[in-house]
Order: sequence, then C-alpha cells, then structure tokens
Amino acid sequence: MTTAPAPAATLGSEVTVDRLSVNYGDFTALRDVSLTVPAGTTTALVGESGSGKSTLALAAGRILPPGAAISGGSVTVGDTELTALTGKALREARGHTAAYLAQDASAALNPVIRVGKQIAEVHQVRCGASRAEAAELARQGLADVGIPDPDRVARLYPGALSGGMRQRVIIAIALAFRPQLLIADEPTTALDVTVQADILALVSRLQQQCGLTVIWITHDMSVVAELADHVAVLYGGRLVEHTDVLTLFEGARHPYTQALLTCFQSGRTAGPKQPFTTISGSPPVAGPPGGCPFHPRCPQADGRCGTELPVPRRVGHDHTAACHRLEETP
Amino acid sequence: MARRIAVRILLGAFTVLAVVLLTFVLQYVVPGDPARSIAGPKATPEVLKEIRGQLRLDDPWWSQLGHYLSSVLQGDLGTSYSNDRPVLSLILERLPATAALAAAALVVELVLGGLWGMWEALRPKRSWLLATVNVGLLSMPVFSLGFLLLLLFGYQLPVFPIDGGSGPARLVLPAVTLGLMGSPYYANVVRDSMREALSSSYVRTAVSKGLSRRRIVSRHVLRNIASPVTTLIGMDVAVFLSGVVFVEKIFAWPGIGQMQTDAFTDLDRPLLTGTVIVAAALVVTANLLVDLLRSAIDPRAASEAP
Repeated sequence: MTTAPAPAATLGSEVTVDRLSVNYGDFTALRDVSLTVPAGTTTALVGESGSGKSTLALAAGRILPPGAAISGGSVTVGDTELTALTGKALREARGHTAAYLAQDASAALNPVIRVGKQIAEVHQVRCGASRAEAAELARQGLADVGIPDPDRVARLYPGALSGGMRQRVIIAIALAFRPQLLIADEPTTALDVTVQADILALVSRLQQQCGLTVIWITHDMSVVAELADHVAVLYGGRLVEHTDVLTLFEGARHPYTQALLTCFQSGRTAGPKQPFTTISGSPPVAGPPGGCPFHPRCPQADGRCGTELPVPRRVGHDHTAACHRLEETP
Repeated sequence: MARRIAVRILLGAFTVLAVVLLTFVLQYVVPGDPARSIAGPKATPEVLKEIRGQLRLDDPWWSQLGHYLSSVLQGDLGTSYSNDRPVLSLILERLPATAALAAAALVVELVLGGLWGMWEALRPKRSWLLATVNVGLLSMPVFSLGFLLLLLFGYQLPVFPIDGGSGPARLVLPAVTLGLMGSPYYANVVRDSMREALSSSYVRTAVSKGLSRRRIVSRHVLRNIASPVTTLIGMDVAVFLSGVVFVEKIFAWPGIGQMQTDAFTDLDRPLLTGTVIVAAALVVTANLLVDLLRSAIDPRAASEAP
C-alpha cells in the first residue's frame, strides 16, 4: 500500500483475438474467430445458446474446463499473449490480466466460505497481504460495488445474500485485482430487471473509473444497446458479423443478425396476443453443417451457401460480415 | 439454534420411547416361556410358578407395561437371565471394548476411503482395478473378509494373535476388517462430492482468482465435502457402537456385539432388549451430534428444518 496506484485510465488494454478455435474433444465449439476490442471499450458477444460465446469467454479468461482445449489461434491482452502462458505465469495472469465475471452468482460463490474471506483470499494469496490488510481491502471492495454495511456483509455466507448482492460480490472478486480485461458471462441473466439495471450501471461506472476493457456476453439486445461500443455476433462457433453498436441497430448486414434484431423488435413492439417473431429452426447442436453454418435457417440461402463457407468481409468502416449474399441484401 | 436443538432432543427422546415400546411388544408376543429358559427343562411346576411370579409374567399386559416403562425410565433395564446381573452394568462393561473397536475402524475407513476417493476424483481416468476392488468389497460378506484376514495374518503369517480378547494387537484385524468393509462407501462419497465440487461454478471462480490447484482443493473443495462425510461418520458411529455382531464374534472381541449373540443363543430377553434400547439411544445421540456438527461446518445445513 506504499506505492501509489497507477492512473486509472491506463488500466485497460487492447484485446486481440486472432483466429481462435476451441475444441471439446472432437467437437469444435469455436472456429477461427478474430476480433479486436479497443482499450477501455465494451464489446458485446451476441448469439443463441451453443453459438460459442461462453466458450470464447472461458478461453479468453483461460479458464476452460478440463476436456476443452484451445486448438488454434491466440488471445492477446495488451502486451501479454494469454494463450501462450502456462503454469505459474498463467495463474498470475488470471484475475490480473483477464478477470471473469460468472453467469450465476449463486453458484459462483463458495457456499461454505464467508463472503469477505472469498474476496480477501485474492489479496492474501496473490499479493501477500496480511489477514487484516486483506480483510480491509475486501471491505473496501464490497463498498466499491455499492454494498451497504460492508462490515456486516463480509461476515455473511453467500446463502444469506440476495441475487443482486451476490452478483455485486462476484464483481468485487473479479475486480479485486484491478484487471485489464473483464469478461462478463451473462452476469445479469439470473436477476430481475431493476436489479439488472443497477448492475449494468455499476459496471459502467467501474469501467469509467478504471478504464476497463470489457467483453460482455449476452443474448439480450437491450443490454447490448445500453452497454456496448461494439458487437460481435456469433453463430455455430463462428463470427458472423462484427460492427459498432449504432451500425448494428441501423444497418446490420448478416441475415442472422437481422433476424435476431427482428425478434428483439417484435418483442418490444408486439401488442397483446400478437405472436413474437422467431427464427425458425434451431441452432446446430452436434456441429454446424457444411458451408455457411446459418444456411439451413437462412431465408436467403442458395445452393452456394450449403457448400462453401463465407469468409468475413469488410462491408463498411469497422464493419465485417460473413455472408455470400451481402451484395443482394440491403 | 437453541430451539432447533431442543426440538431435536425431544424428537430423539420420542424415538427411543418408541423403541422401548416396540421391545415390550416383541417380548410379549414372542413365543417361549422365559421362566422355562431361566430354570431349565427339569424345573418343577412350583419353581416355574415362583419365577413367573417374580417376573410378573402372570400380571395383565398393562400392568407389565407400566412396570417395564417405569423401570426403563429409572435406568433399570432388567436383570440378565443367564448370569443374574443388571443388564445396564453388563452393557456398560462391554462398551469400552466396542468403543475402541469403533474408533479404530472409523480411523481406518476414513483414512483409506478418504485417500482413495480423493485420488480417484483428482485423476482424469477411471481405474478399473480400483473399481473392481470397490465392487468386490461392497459385495463381500463381512464374515468372509474377517475369516480371510484371520487366515492370512493370524494363521499363515502369524502376525496377529488369534486367541481373542482385547488389547491393541488384537484390535488390528477386527478394525481393519470393519475399515475395509466401510472404505468403499467413503471412497464413493468423497469421490462423487469432490468431482461435483471440482466441476462447480465456485471452483471456476477460484480458478479465475488465480489460486493454485492445491489451494483450491484444500480450501474450496474439501470444505464442501466435509458435510456428506460427517453424515457418513455419524451413521457408522451409531452402527459400530451398537455392536458389530459378526466381527466381534469372529475375532472373539469382548464387546457388545459378542454379548448380543450370546444373549440370543441363551434366549436372554432382558439382555437382548437392553442392547436394543441402548443402541437406539446411541443412534439418536450420534444423529443429533452429526446434525450439530454439520450446522457448524456448512451454513446451508444450519437453515434446514429440524
């Protein structure tokens, strides 16, 4: 605590994902995904279940479960190539270079360890803080994420907290080490709407304070609109469209992105008893079909889409899409 | 918490009372004449009548029940037919030997099963050898294993005495027998709850904090398996303390179990029912202690209904 902390704005780093592929045994969950997240900005990863967005998050945080392996490509945060690290260097990068914010805070906290201890542990083990110092840092961490009466809460077990409070604790754990990159895996899905809004506001505030770079996984377009600077749309383990958030809502080019947005709009504007618009069919489970992964469900697919894989193409400033029929669609 | 403990104690007392009533009913309905088994086949009708009078066997059932309940409540479990001594003092005499065996067996199965389960949980591949040993031990009758060990380590390789009695050297084989029989249960519970913990979301959080695997296992995983293991220990303590009949008989270990078998062959009803009542009290107490211990270990258990 003697050295002055570095200026907050320099904390975030540019994140580069380069042709990343991840395999679960024989099954390829993520194929050749490349994207860049500018320092201090938020990129939302969007897609249905099974699109590979959580796999990308776990791979970028280097916390893939046993059985899953990065089979190609790299993830670089600032100067650190995360995917090249092993052993002790990898452990040290976790929580520091890249921190992971889990989806379900009720399950992500250890039920038999007091909340304060779960945060203090990071300081104790990673920075050699004494028990008292670590407890004070944990208390501070709880206060930073807007928990009232942090002294009392620190002594509670997770079971005694509400869902929103647990999510705040998870955020405090993820940010305990002032990471450069925060990977948030649908952290608000399990919360009700008002609590979700609080959490989104909290993350935005912390991001501005620390200049965090954020990768936010979600399937909720309203969260995208609220939080993201850029959006990457994944389907069947591939990146199908990548653009800034305004272009996404006004000029999405990939048929899948357009379909997602139509569903979202219909959900917002549909009157009573009016059916929601859905995308017919379901996302690939056992592995995407040959050609474009979306072609079985795509209203515009032709013969070529079933055989030949479209590569991501530049369709505008900061805007790529992977579709054979970009010229024909508006 | 105090309320919860009080409720548990009350429920336990009711359970023991129910067992006492049950033993009375069994004594009442089981055929055979206790007076005859005390006095022997050559006893005269006068002697039989006198004994029946002493035991109040000719009283109406409600009078017998009242007398039985009031003496049990006063700690009088009756007098043994076969050696004419108070049942309670006979049981208390045997309890230290049984408790020593129970403690030793518990240590064996906990250490063996715990290490075994942890090893299996931390290994990615399943070991066929261990799986076979596991099923083998689970399906082997306890007397087969007991005699096998006795044959191997008492007779073929005379490492341990086979003449029966108590003492540390004589404790080894019965404790190992019980421990080996119990270890697969511990191994399975430890392995399964550890695997569940290792694949849990909170372990992923621990990994993302940058903790070492050793610390994750010792601080985050083991604490979560303490609760199911405690439950298992509680069950075993109760079973072992109430007398392990076969093992004590095989190794001539002078504990409650051996006394039970003897009481059974002698048709010594007060002694048999006495051991059953003491066993019930021990099981209830062990359950209560486990419950309290689990509440101390696991905050989730503390909020369960009594």
